[in-house]
Amino acid sequence: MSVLAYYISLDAAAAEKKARAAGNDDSPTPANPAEALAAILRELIADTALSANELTALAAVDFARLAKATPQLRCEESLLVIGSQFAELYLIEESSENGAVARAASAARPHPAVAALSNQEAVIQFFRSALGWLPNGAHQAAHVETFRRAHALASEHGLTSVALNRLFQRALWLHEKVRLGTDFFQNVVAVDDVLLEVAGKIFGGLKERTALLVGNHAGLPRVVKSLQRAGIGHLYFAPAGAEKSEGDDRLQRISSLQDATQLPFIDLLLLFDYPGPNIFTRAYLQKLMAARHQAPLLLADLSAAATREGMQKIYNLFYFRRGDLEKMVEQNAQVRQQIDAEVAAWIRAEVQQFYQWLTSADRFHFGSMVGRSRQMQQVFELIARIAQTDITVLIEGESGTGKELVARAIHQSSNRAPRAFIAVNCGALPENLLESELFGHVRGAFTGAVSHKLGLFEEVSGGTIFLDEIGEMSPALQVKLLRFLQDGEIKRVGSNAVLKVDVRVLAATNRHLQTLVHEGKFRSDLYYRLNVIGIQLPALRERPEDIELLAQHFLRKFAGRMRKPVAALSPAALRQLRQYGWPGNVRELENVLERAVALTGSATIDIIDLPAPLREPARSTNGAARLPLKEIERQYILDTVTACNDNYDEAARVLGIGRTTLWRKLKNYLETTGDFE
Amino acid sequence: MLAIHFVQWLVVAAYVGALIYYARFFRRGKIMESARAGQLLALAAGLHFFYLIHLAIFTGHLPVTDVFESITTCVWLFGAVYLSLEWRLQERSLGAFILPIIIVLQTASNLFLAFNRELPAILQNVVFEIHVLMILLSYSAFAISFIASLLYVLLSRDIERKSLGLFYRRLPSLAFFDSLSNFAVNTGLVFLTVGVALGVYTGIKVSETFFDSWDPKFIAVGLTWLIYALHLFSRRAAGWQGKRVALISLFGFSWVLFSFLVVSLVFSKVHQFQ
Repeated sequence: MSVLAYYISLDAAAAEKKARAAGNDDSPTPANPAEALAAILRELIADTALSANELTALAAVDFARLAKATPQLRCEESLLVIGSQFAELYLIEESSENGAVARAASAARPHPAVAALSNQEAVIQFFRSALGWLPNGAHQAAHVETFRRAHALASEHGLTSVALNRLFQRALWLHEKVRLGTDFFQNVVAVDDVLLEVAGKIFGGLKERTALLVGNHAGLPRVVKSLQRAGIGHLYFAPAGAEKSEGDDRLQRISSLQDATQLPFIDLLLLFDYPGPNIFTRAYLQKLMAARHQAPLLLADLSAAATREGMQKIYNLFYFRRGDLEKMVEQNAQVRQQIDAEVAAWIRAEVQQFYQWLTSADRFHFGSMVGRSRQMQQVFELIARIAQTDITVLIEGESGTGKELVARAIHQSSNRAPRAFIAVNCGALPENLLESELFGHVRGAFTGAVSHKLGLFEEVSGGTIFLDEIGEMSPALQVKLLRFLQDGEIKRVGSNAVLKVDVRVLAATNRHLQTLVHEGKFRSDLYYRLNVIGIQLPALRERPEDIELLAQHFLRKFAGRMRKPVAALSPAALRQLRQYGWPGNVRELENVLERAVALTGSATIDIIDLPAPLREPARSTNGAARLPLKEIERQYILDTVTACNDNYDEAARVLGIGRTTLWRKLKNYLETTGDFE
Repeated sequence: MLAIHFVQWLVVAAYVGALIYYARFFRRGKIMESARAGQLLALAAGLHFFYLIHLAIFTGHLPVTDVFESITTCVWLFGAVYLSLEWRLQERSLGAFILPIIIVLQTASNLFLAFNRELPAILQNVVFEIHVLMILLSYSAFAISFIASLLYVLLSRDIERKSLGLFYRRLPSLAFFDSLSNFAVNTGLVFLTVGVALGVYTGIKVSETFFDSWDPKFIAVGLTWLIYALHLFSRRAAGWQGKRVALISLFGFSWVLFSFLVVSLVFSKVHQFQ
C-alpha cells in the first residue's frame, strides 16, 4: 500500500495562475490520469480571492469529480482538504504495482505551488493536518474543523475506506491525547491570538463585551475576523479621520471619540494607525475609566509607533503595546518548541503503528474472521464502526459465509461483550416452541407448561441475541419481534404483563429478505426495522483472493488441533481450491481442509487429499458443456445426499451447509422437478 | 480512641494526596490528572465526614463546641463547598491553593482536639448548634472568596507584567474569580448574619447578663461582619471592581483566621463557657 500527499500553497498557486494568464493560455486536454489529477489540482487552486465558504462549496463539487478521477488513477482512497492557506490531497493505492501514485507524484512535482510527499511523510502530514499543524509550522485551530468536515464529505462520497478511515480515527484519538496532555492548543503564536487570549484572561467569555477599533491598519480585517470568531458581543469602529476605509460596512460606526464619558460601554479598545493628534491621553483614559466605574479595560495599541507611557499606572487599565504582544509571542514560541517536539514524537509513533498495522496479518483478521479482500475489509470496518452502538443489524449472506461470526464479532466489540450472547436458529424450531423459547411462558400457558420459564430475551438481558434465518419466522412471531424492536417490550406466552428488556438484536438470513417482503412472506415494517444497518457478506467465489489466506488459516488451525505436522498446501492443490465454485462458501472450505488434514500422510496437502469434486480439473476451464451454477449445485447436493445414504445430517455436514438450508434446497428441487427420491 | 486518632491522621494524609495531584495538575496542566485529583479530594472529604460522625458519637455531641472541633467541621464544610463548586464550574485550578489551608487547619485540629465529653448545659442546645454551623458555613464561603481573590491578584499581576507565568497559563480569567469571590462573599454574609442573630438569641436565653460585658469574641465577629458588609457596599454602592475589592476579601479572611484562632483562644472569656 502506498500513500501520497500533496499540499498546495494557495498563495503560490494564485501567483502561478496569474503568471500563466499573462502568457498564452492553452490548457491541453488531460491525456493520462496523472495529468487529469494535475488539472484538477490546478483548477482547484485557481483563485485565492475566494472566501472560505466558496472554497468549501467548490470542494463539495469537486468531490464528485474526484470520485470519478480516482478509479482512473487506480487509487482506492482519497481525501481532499481545502484549508485557508493550504489545500491537501491524500491518495492511497492498494498495491504499488500500478505505480499511479508514483507517476502522479513525478507529474505534479514541477508545479511550483505543489509539494508531494509519499508514504511515511504523507502519513505524518495527515496527522499534523488533523491537529491543525500546517506544513509551514503554523498552527491553525480552524484547520482541525476543516479537516474533519473534509473527511465527512469524502466518506459521504465513498472516497475513503479502510486505511483512511483508520487513519482518521487514530487522528481523532491523537487529538484528544494532545488536548488533554499538553498545551498544544492553548499556546498561541500570533499577535492577534495573543491579544484574544489576554482578553479572555481578563474578561472570560467575550459574548457580553464590546470592542472599539480605532484607526486603520492592514491587519485590521484579520483582527476583526478573529474577534468575531471569538464571539465578541458588539464591535464598533472609528475610522481614522474622514476617509473611507474598506471592510467597515459590517461594523457599527462611532463618529466622535472626543468625549470619553460617552464611551463607558467599551471593554476592549484597540488602537491602530491613527493620524492627527493623539486624543488617548492619560487624562482622557482616566476620564473613561471613571465613566465605567473602574471596570477593567483592555487597551491594546497595535499601531507602529506605540509609546504611551504611564498607562500602566491607571487602575484596572490593562495596557498592551504591539511590542508587548510580540514579546509574549516570543515567550510562547520557546515553550511551543518543546510541545511541538513532544507532539511530533507522538505522531511518529502513530505513523509507525499505522505501518505496523499495514504490514501485519492482524489487518486481515477481525474476531475469528479472516479476509484480505476489499469486500471483507469493508465489512470489518463497518463492524468496528457500528459495534459500539445498539443499532439493529441485518446480516445477509449465503450459507457458510460466516454470518454468525459477524454477529459474534459485533457482540465482542461492543460494550455488551461481558454479557451474554445467544444465537437462535429461527428455522430450527416449530413456531410455538420458538415463541416460548424467545419470550418465555407462564405456568399453565399451554399443555405441558408446568412451571414458569424465562425466555431467551430475558435471559440475555443486557446482552445480544442473534436470530439466524430470520426469514423462516412465522408472521405471528414477526409481530411480536417488531413490538420488541419498537418499544423494547415483550410479553411471556400466556401472560399479559409487559416486560421491558434491554437486548440488542442482530438478525441474519441466507435468503434475499427483500424478495420475501415482496412475496408477502415477511412483514415490510419488520424488514425496515431490522435493516437499519445491513451487512452483505460476499460469497467466497466473489472474493477469490481470500481463499489462500483462509486455507492457510484453517490449515494451521486443524494441524494444531490434530497435532499433525502439516505445514503447507501444494501449488496444484491451491490452484484447485481457487478454481472451485464453493457453493458452501467458507464453511465448505473449512470442512475440505479439515478432511484434508485428517487424511494426508505428508507435510504438504496435495490434490489427492482433496475431496472428489475438487480433484477434477475445474469444469469451466476444460471447455465441456457449461452449466449454470444452480445446476451444478443441484447435482452436487443430490450426489452427496445419495452418497450419504440419505442421511441428511451427514450430507449437510459434508456439504458444509446448515441442515435447514439443505432441507429447503431439497424441497425446492422437489417442487421444481419432482425428481428427487 | 486509637482508631479515631488513626482516622483523623488518615484524613490529613488523604488531603495531602489530593494536594499532590492538584499541584501536579497546576504545574503540568494535564486534564486527566485533574480528574483524579477531584476524585481523591472527594475521597478525602468522604473520609473526613466519616471521621466527624465518629467524633460526634465518641463525644456525644456535634463537633462544634470548642475551637478545634469547630475547625475540623469548618474544614470539612469548606472542602465540601469547594467540591460542589468544582463540579459545577468544572474548574480545578483552585484546588492547589485551597488544600494547603485545609491541611494546616486540620492538622492543628488533630493536634489540639481535646475529645471533651463533658459539656456545659448552655451548649446542649439545637439552636446553639445551628448558630455555630451557620457561622462555620459563612467562614467556608469567605475562605473560597479569599482563594478566589488571591488568584485574582496573582493573575492580574501576571497580566500587568505581560509575562506568561504559570498563573497566566493555568487560571481561567479575572472575571471568573471576580464573580466567584463576590458570590462567595454574598452567600457568606447571609450565613454570618443568620448565625450571629441565632447567637444573640441563644445568649439572651441563657442569661440576662450574657452581653453585659464586652467579650473580644463579640467584637471580632462584629468586625468580620463589618468588613464583608464593606465588601458588598463597595461593589454595590461605590461600584468598585477588581483588585481593590479582592484586597478587602483578602483582609477579611485574614481577620477571620486571626479572630478564630487568636481571639477565641487567648482573649475570650464569656464565650468560653468554662
